[in-house]
Amino acid sequence: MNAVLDVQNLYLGVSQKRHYSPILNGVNLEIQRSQIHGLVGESGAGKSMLAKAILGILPSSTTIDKGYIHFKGNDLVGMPRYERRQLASRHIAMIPQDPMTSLNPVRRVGNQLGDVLRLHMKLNRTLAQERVLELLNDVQIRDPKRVVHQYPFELSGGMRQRVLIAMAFSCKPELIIADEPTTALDVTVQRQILQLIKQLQSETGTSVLFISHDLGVIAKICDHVSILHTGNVVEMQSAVNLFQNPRHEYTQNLLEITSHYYRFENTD
Amino acid sequence: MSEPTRSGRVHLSSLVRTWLGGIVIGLLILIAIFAPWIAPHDPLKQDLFSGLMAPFWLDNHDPAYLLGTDSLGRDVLSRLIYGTQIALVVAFIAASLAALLGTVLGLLAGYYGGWLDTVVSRLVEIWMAFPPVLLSIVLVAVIGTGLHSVVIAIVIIDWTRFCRVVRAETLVQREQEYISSAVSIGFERWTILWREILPNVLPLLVTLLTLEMGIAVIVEAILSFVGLSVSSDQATWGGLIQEGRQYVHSAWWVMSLPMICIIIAVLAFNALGDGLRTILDPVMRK
Repeated sequence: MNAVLDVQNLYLGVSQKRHYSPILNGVNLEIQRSQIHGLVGESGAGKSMLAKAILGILPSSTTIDKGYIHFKGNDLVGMPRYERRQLASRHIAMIPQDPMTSLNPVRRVGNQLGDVLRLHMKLNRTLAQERVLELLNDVQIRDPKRVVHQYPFELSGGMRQRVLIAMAFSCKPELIIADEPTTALDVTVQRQILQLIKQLQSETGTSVLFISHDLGVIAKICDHVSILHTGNVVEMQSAVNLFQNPRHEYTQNLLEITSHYYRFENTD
Repeated sequence: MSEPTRSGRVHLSSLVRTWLGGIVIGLLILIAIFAPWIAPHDPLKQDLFSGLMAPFWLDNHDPAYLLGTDSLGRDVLSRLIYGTQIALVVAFIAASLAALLGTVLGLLAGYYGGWLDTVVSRLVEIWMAFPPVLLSIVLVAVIGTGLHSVVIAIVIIDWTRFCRVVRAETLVQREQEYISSAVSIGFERWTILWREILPNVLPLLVTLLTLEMGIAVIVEAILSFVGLSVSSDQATWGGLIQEGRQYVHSAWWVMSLPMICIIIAVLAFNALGDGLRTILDPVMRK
């Protein structure tokens, strides 16, 4: 089997004041090596919760009730924090939804990137600084020498997302979880960021779980697609098949609405 | 504050305030250090024939006593100068220790939550139910007078100011995306607390610390006023007020001058704290 990540029968819910609401009801998801796997779903379908469960950053009110998240043969569910740090933290990275709040506002960009390299790649301070410049260069940031000394608020949204992409790819992870990485950006920047992720992914061979509600974006960059609907994966297909031959009713509706939407836009 | 058109003005005035506060505090520190050389008289030397002399701008003054004398003929200026020593030592040491205690507890309670947070929060609530001045008087009465007792009393009373604010700010920071990000990267909790959260709490902390120094000056004055601070053979601002109070109708300056000293010191600490907050915030700094 060539799966990097294998989520099986995952149940997850939020409890607030004795009231329990289920979010995921037996999700199955398999991500193959070196592929971009799309995860599509409407707002509230549980996309981000699934991402957080894989990353181990679920809010304290949320619990995993059943199921497995297998990463390289280890079940991440219920794994103690220190063990998780050893086995998974370095190899599963994330590109967050909101680049505005995902960097520490009072620390310089270079230091934040450097910390990650020193933690996982065991680089010393000088080597880390050099590597940071290379990484920023790889994500096509102009004048990296200036940017490392800047604070996040001095950078544009697109620049920050590039920094976060650099951070995600910095320790050569096996899986990157990109949780709607372009929703907070405007359309022109969106396109550049998508190209960048695609390019870095094909260069490094990292697998990517690409979460989005935008079928247009998914069609552009994904190899496989899973459709998440009311806490369940209702369909998983290769991207080509999914768009030509959707099997599940929900997917068919989704595609139809999207095509109407685009037709409407084009005639306008 | 975030409006770009106004940021320039905010920046300038806060810079001016920082400098003003800093310069005044600096002068007070110099006065405290060089008191023996600056003071024109021995602050304890009595001259019973020249009691209650007026300061230089009033009639009935003696050029030897620039700011007049108290009822025992001791030089007010020299006593004010020596009083600076006690005021500043208490301000710096007591405020720093209160900040240290409150910050550590606030960070831990805010970040780890759970039973630790419950214990610390309840403790703060109980603490704040006591009237602070009465509590300090009782404390000093129990542990005895002296410089260390004053410091201990202030720390024991005022750590809650830091704890409350630091805990609240830690709670806010803990929920930020960059903390989740740091957790997913695999930094240890201790590292996250120290390297990600503390720097975000720091500007607030510095402001509180300087404000607390001002408060410590006042608390020390109160304790001196009721005779529970350092021994009475040392000149303190609060002690001067207490002695002057009895003669306020015939010699108002003996009581008023130390009050002015306290006001200047507290204002300077506040101005400095407010300015530093702006300077330490990278967003406001630009």
